[in-house]
This record gives sequence, C-alpha cells and structure tokens, in this order.
Amino acid sequence: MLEVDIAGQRGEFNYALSFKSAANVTALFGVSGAGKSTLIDAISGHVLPENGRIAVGDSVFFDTINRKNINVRKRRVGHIFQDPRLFPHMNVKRNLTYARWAGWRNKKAASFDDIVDMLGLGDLLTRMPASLSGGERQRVAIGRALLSDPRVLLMDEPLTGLDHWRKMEIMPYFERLANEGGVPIVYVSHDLDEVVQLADHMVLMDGGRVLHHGSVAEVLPKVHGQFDQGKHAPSALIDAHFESIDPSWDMTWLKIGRQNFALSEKLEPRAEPYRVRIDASDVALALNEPRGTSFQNILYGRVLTVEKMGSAYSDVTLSIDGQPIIARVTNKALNEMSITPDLQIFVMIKSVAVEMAL
Amino acid sequence: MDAILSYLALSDVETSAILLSLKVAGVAVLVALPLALLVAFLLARYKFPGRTALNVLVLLPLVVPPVVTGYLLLIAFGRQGFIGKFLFETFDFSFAFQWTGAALAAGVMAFPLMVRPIRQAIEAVNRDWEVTARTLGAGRLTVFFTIIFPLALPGLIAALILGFAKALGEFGATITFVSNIPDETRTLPLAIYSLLQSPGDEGGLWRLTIFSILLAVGAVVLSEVMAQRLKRLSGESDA
Repeated sequence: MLEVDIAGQRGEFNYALSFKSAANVTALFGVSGAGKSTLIDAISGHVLPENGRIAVGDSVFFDTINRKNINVRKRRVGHIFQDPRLFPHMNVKRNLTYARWAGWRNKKAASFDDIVDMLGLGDLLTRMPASLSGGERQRVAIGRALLSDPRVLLMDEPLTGLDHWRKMEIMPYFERLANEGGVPIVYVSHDLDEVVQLADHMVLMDGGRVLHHGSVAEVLPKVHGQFDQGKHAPSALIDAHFESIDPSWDMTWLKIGRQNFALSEKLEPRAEPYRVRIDASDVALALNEPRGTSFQNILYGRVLTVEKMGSAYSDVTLSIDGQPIIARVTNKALNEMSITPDLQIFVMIKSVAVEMAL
Repeated sequence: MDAILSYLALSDVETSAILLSLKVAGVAVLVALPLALLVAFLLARYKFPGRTALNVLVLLPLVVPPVVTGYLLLIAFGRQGFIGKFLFETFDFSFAFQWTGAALAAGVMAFPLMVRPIRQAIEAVNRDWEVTARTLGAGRLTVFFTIIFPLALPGLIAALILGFAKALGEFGATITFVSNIPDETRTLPLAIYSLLQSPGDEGGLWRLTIFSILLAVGAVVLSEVMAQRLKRLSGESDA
C-alpha cells in the first residue's frame, strides 16, 4: 500500500498531491511540470514537503504530524532514472551488488542469481558500463535497484530517450517485474502505451495536483482535454480474451464479452485477457448494421453517457457487454442520429487502430 | 665513449643533492596530498562561510613571491616563530635548517598546484552518481571512497606528479626558510645555484642540469601513461 498526502513548494512550483494505491504498479501520468518528478523525489527523500505524510506498506517515510523523516539511505527506495546512472568505473557485477558491499543491504534481499536470470544479465557481468547498449544499461540499473532490497521501486521515465527497439527489449522485463508483484512499483511516464501496458493503478496529474486516480480503466478515459486542449480524443481500455488465430490473414480473433473482435496482428494464445486500447477517434457509430465497410469490427453496444466536448463534437461512452468504450462523434451526427443514453447501437472499430497491450 | 660516461658520472656531492631532492619532494607531496584532497573536496562540493578565504589562502603561494612565502615560513616555523617555538619546546622538533623544513617549504609551494587538478576532477564527477549511491544505502564516507575518490583518481595522480615536479624545482622559499646547507637543505636547484656562484665546475653544472631535465621529462611521461591507463580502466575510451 502506497499512501501519499503531501503539500509544499519547490522553487516557484506549488504542489498538493494526495492518493492511495494498493496496486503492484502505480502509474503517475501527466505532462512535464505536472509534479511527477517532485512526487518521486518526495518518496525517495530528495525533496522534503512542507507538510503531509508518505508511507509505503508499514513503513512511514515522512510524517509532519509525528515529526518523522527517514533518511534517504534508510528508506530503501529503488530509484531507476531515465539515465541509468551506472557507476562507470565498476563492471556490471560490482554495479549490481553495490548496495550489498557499499550500502550494507543483504538481509532478505532477492537472490543475485534470480535477478541476473530474470533480467538476462548473465553474459554481461564482467563488462564495463561504457561497452553496454542503452537497453542493457537500463536493465543493469533495474537489477541494481532490485538488489538493494527495496521497499518500493521508483521508475522515473525509465524508457524515455530509448528508441523503439530498446523499449521493446526492456518492456518484457518490466512486465515480469510487475506481474511478480514482489515490490510495489511507482512508474512515471508521459507515454500512455507504457502506462496501459504496465500499470494497474493510475494517477493523473497536472499543475502539481492529482486530477484523478483509480484503476487504469477508470482513469484512462479522462486523459484528454487538459493535456492537449481537447484536440486529442480520449481512449478506453478493454479486456479481450484470446479466441483464435486466422492464419490466412495473419489476424487474431479476440472476444470482448460475447462478441468477436479482430486484430490485424498475431498474438500468443493465453488464458488471461489482453488489454486493448481504443482511441475514441477510431470508433464510429451506426444505427443500422453496416454492410460493405472497411471497418473489420462491428460490435453491438448500448449508449451510457453523452458528453458535449464543445460546439463541434461530443464523446459518447458506450457499453459493449459491460466493457466501456468511447466514441468521438460530431454534434451534427449526434443530432441526426438522435443518440441518447440507453440507445442500442452498432459500434465500428478500425481493427488496425487498436493499441495492443501485452 | 668512456670519456663521455666518466663525464656524466655523478660526484658524491651531486648524488647527495639529487637523493636529497627526491626525499624532500617525495615527503612534501605525500604529506600534502591528503590535505590537498580534503581542501579540494570542500571547495568542490560545499558552500560554507570562509570558502572564498580558503580558496585565496590556498592560491596564495602561487602568486606571492617565493621569497615572501619563505620569510613567512621562517616567522611561523623558525625556532623563534610562534609555531616553531611551540614545536621545539613541546616535541623538541624543529623545521629550521633541517631537510624537513625544505620539505615543508616545497609542500607549501606545491599545494596550490595539487589542489587545482583534484578539485577539477571532483567537480567533474557527476553528482547523480552520488545521489544514486545514497539511494542504494551508501553513507557519505562510503560514497566518497567508492564513487568520488576512484573517479577523481586521474586528477589525484596529476596532482601528485605536478606537485612532485614543483617541489623538485622549489628554490626561493626553501633558501629563504632553511638556507643552503649541504646534505641537509641543498636540493637540486640549490646545488645548481651554488655551482653558479663558484665558477670552475661546469661539468657538475651540466650534469645536474641534464638530470633536472630528465626528472621533469620522466614525471610528464609518467603522468601521461597513468592518465591513459586510468582512462582504459574506467572504460571511457570504449564509449
């Protein structure tokens, strides 16, 4: 359980941040200047709020009422930065074990061999940081943080600055970490795809305040407006179960509720649902069952709410067998089609526009 | 050939001056090094009252005429000096007219040249590494010895060699503070000076001059080799 309720000032920047999360992975999401890094630094102890409380599990890091402020090195926070910050004069093994030989942390810590295996670092142990690729360095930094026996892992945009392929290289390790659930993770990002892929709980921040927090599925539809003046449509997160692969078209059939859903990508069969992100601008609505359209996915849903986003368009939230999805339509269409709550309607989704979360 | 070799052969007096110089300069830099490291670290990493004053004090021997430095040392550490008197009366120890006095003069003169490269090396150590080391549980002292010290090592070596070369060549402060006593305070430059004062031994003059140059070249080559080796060790050359 992560509890944060802090307020203070950092230079010109005022912040008052409050949320609780019991999730394995809590994502802090917001534009730069939202206060994400301040929050991370407050948890690690590099920033002291003027008042409030920070607790991770049973350990209270900071509490102004009880005049408590645990020293940085005693908080046992595994901090992973955007820049891996490996010590350049030590080989990978010395870097990994730094907390053990320099920080006196060896009790209860995860096994060295397990972490080396998990992060695929076995062949790198004698290498110097300068000879590693960006992705390898970040993996070593993660291993080093894990081996410091952390109470919480703070990841401050760990993938920013890496190219697409390096991200793809690291992402599976993050997922394994998230799924193992040993240490709670606070993940800072301004990339929605990363958040969707990794996080269970999401904290939406702006201007030093928490706007919304809750499950990713709850908060995701609220990510719009303040981040791009409403130009960018919100998106919905849907759980889809693997059904089958259509080898002739290299497509995968998923099931949303009882309805089939096609994806133009081959996925591995698995029991747990895939997360699918659908942008509101990729969703179209039709009163009658459409025929002869390039939309691969035509589902049947029920209108939940209609929210006017301005004079030109509205966001319609629909339920597809209980899963919420958002469609952005023009107000003209809204009017002509008489879209109101409880209306049963066909929902068309461009299959190619689906963002796949592993 | 034999004639050249015999011409280059050092006399006992010359050998004594060279060995004395190595001893004086060696002791001077080895004693000055930890102190220079401390001062460089304070100047590089902390803001405190008197920081500017300390900075000026450290640089002073570099800008003040060496004779003045020698005179100030005499006032402070001479047998009648306020520190010298105390040392003599309590520990029966005196710098005056001793090789230790020559080492003190050489150390003081070399000090600013030693602080500077160490300070620059420490300032070049990215503070992010220190922050990271602390989140991994290292205390301040551990951070110093595991992160700052090894990464600033090239600067430290540079300081040692630069300081050693400066100490070998120190003249003005030494002759003012501890005079020019054979086998005690007559270091290489002082011996050359003495030979210049009494013409007739051009051979000795040349031998000491050549030796001075060889020592200086040796020190520079050594510092280059060390710098290269350290660079390779920290893997920077692979980047």
